[in-house]
Amino acid sequence: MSEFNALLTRSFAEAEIPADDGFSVNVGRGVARLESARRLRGAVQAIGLGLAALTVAAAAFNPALALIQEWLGNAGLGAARAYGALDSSVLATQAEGAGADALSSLGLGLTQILLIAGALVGGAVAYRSAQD
Amino acid sequence: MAARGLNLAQASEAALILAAQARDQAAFGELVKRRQGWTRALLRRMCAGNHAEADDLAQEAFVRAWDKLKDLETPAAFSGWFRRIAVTTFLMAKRKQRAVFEEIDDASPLADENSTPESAAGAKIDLERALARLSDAERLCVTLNHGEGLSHSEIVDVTGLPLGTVKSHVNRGTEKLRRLLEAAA
Repeated sequence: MSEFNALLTRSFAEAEIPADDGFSVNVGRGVARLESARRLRGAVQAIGLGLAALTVAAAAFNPALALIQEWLGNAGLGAARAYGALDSSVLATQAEGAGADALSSLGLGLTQILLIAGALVGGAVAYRSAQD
Repeated sequence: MAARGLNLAQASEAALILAAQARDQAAFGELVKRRQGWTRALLRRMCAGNHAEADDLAQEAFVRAWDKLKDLETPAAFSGWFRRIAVTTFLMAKRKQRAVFEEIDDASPLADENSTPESAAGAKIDLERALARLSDAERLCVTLNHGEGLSHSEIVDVTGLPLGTVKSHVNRGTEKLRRLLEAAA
């Protein structure tokens, strides 16, 4: 049996080795096809991920905006309450002063606005006359 | 594209494997050129001399190897790693054809006494034709044992078959070949 096993092993070792005959080229084509398919799959995945990210961002935008508005509203309310908790007499004095200042500022501002508007109208009329 | 500075024709197999792991298709092509003979010879024996089927399986094995090359830990392990891929490719193809490797058919004759005698000219046998007389499982195990020099436990590792089944296939396959030659003598 061992003699036969040796013969068998020798016969395997002496068996004919096939020539290439274009086999390597065919494998190369198969590998190239695999790589093309892999690149295409990668591109499709990237596009899909991008679309998914856009969808999530669009879906999250409105709730996020509402949350920010609510947060800002709460912050403003908190500031107003803190302001209201201060001494009312101080506040009253400050409110009186602030009202007087606001009226004074409005008067000065109105004068300036009227002056600028008059200058613009005058300029426009002069320009129109020169064109005629 | 070839790796920078790598002369493919003169590069060592380890260098080609490392370049192929870096997705160098030219280096892998050179590796295929060097390994195609051994791979196709192995699969031709397993496919009972059906050269077209064996070459298709060899091509599939190489493409699969390219796809999984990143899993290879060291170039030194390439031979065993690729042999496993070739054998797995063969087993998958045969299982699609409903071949069964796990069962041992004790009722089958050890050799077909009425068949055409194999040539035993000199001290060499017509191996391909003799192997064609064995079952798929016997041919696989005998080829790995006598052709590739794998031990029974190594065949278990490569094929996933149980040890007892491998031993039976090797012994029955070898005995069938021996009786075929005795009948021819």
